[in-house]
Amino acid sequence: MPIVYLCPTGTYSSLVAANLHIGIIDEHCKVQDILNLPNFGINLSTGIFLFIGEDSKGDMIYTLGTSGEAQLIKKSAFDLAKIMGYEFEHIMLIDMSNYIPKYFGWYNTIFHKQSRTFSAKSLYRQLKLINIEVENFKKQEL
Amino acid sequence: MHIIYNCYGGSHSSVTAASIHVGILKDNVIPNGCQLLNLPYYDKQVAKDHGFIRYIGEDEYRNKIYITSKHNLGRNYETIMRSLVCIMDLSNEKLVFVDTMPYVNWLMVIGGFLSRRLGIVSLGRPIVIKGTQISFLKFTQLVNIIKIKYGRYELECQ
Repeated sequence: MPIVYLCPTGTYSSLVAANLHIGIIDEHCKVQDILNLPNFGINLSTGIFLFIGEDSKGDMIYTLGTSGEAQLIKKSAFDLAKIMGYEFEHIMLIDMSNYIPKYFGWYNTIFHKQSRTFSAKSLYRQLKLINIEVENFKKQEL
Repeated sequence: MHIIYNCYGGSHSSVTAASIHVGILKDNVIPNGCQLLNLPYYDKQVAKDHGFIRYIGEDEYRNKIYITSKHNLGRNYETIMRSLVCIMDLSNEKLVFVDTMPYVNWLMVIGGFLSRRLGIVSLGRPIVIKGTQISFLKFTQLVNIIKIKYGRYELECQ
């Protein structure tokens, strides 16, 4: 089953959550570990998905940038799946936008280099919360 | 084919274009206010409805016509949806996203904002209707292009 983590860029909070999910990092990792994650904070066009890896159950983990409209995209995806005859239970979309400040998009555009470190620190401070959300989701999945 | 007309709120331009496409509105007659208000979802959707894909009907080529809203995502909406279709391992070939925003005029923007966002229906609705009537032939032209392009595609596939 594909599991897609969503955030405005697909390279910050969703990427951290996806890596927590497959176990590349854990809640005790350091800021540098977050900065060293492949594709962390890269400039990626909105809507381009990243394949992060496979989890222990064989589920495919992705991230997708939704430019601050994750909730709208979830509704559209649900309806599109129905239209295309796909069972929506076979895909999971998890919104991780709450872990990114709302003004982040502008800040990231203007101060891209600084924003990478800034957001790594910010996500590091919220790592436990993100991990709890990921773990809760994994339990639900069982 | 699944043809999805999309605009900011899924209340005016996409509804008008989709209605022309399925034949609810005649493409050579500018509709009056009553006809527009009788269209499904016209000036009715609110914020919590945004994102849902609504079925409007079927055209003469058996294409299924839908409307939806995408806020300010612009072309990114289509990219995101196509990415998700790809992740779901489905075919993108039978999906068409039509952006109706380029044909929206200022009257539709102001009227739509007053009616849908601020809830001042009595003021916003006449303005958005006037705006829709002004842009109506542009929507007609857009729909004709889509019909020629994808109607023919469907016939060729058969």
